Amino acid sequence: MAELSCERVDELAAAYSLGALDRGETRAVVDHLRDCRSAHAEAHRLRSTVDALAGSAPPVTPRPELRERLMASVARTPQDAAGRPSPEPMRARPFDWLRPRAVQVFGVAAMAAVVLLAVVALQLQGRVGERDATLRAIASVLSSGGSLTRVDSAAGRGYLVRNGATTTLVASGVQPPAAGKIYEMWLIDASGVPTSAGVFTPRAGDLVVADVSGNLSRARTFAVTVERGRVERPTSEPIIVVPLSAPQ
Amino acid sequence: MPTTEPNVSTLSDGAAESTAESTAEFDRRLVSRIQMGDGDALGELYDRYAALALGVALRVVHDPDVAEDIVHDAFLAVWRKIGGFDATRGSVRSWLLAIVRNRGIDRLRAQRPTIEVGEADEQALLRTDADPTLAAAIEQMSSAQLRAALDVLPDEQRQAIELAYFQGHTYRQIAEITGVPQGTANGRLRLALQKLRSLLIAADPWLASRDEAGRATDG
Repeated sequence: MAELSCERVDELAAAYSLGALDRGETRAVVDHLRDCRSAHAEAHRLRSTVDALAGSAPPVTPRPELRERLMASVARTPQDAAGRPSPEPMRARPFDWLRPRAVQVFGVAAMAAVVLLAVVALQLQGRVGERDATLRAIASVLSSGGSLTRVDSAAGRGYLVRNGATTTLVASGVQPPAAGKIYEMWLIDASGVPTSAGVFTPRAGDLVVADVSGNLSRARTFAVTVERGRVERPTSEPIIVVPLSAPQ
Repeated sequence: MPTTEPNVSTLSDGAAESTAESTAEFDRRLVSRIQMGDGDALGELYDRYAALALGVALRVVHDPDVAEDIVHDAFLAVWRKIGGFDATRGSVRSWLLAIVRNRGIDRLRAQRPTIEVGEADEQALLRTDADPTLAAAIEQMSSAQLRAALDVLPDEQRQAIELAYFQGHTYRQIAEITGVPQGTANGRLRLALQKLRSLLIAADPWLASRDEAGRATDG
């Protein structure tokens, strides 16, 4: 079959995603997507949508004998040679909103200023316990070459304090959530998939000092949402979004 | 928001313990174990997704015995070919269900001798998910929610999707079956998927806010 134009590939994207092309057209589309530098965003987006069609079929519990038959087959069937296929030039375009924007990571001089401001602020508020916790967190960052990433949103202002494997959210001005709700933190990877990183519930006027659990090295964004309880996926628009720098 | 569970009656004790960690993370660990030759891990994968797989197979072939054969063969294909599965391209769940659907379509097409039967597993393995957040959200939705989204589509678009996805017809065949030009049939498929995508995103506040931000960035 003759090579397809980008325009024709986009026209056929839906049919391709549904497997509704004949073999020649399918191969032509696959070859084009593999070799073309254009994003063909629609072609990639629609393929995820097709998953919804499989999911729309009501589940049906199989008979127990099917599992027995399968496990017997597995026991006598060797796996194909391990190893991934050769690198596929077809690009998976990262979820657009995760492109790193300006990431403010402070150097040593700026960190010193942060420490001073934090101490002054907390002294003025007379909250010795929190001051000590904040000082310990920031001091350990300064002594071990960690980093601070600024958090600056209408919902709260402060820093993500990273020190080796631990990360702490230190923020002020975070209002208590509505009754029955909590704040949940998220780490979002380059593909846009969020993973829960912990929850916190500040009281009025409290300084938030919350441990951020999870692997920041794979995360590209830190976010906070309001939830009715700890959930596996965010259910609402985030109130805090912080781009994270890619690993060095 | 409570997470959408797979068919609980098919979950093993090991799979039931996974509720404390994310579904995606649990599946990734299962894939790693299967890649290392752990047959029990394949059994756990079966326990998680056999009911979904059989539902898809029955939706395509409508014959319980054939459907069970398809499910058996699909899981066995996962076992054999797991070494070539790349978790960065998509979830093992969507890969498995794609194999089930394609094998079902292969059975239907085998009864149509004029149509070339495609290489189902190869195409499924080549999938690239550039929208993994949507994919993850779809996996959390119930089959009833997804059917409700399909029901919103105009009749001719829903029919075109049914003919393509669940009956394995090409858009050229759909044009013939429905008595419209090929361009119209293809256009209905395109509009249907675009509309379905919009409905699914709109139903999820998190996705809707990310989609809004993404479009603002595109400018």
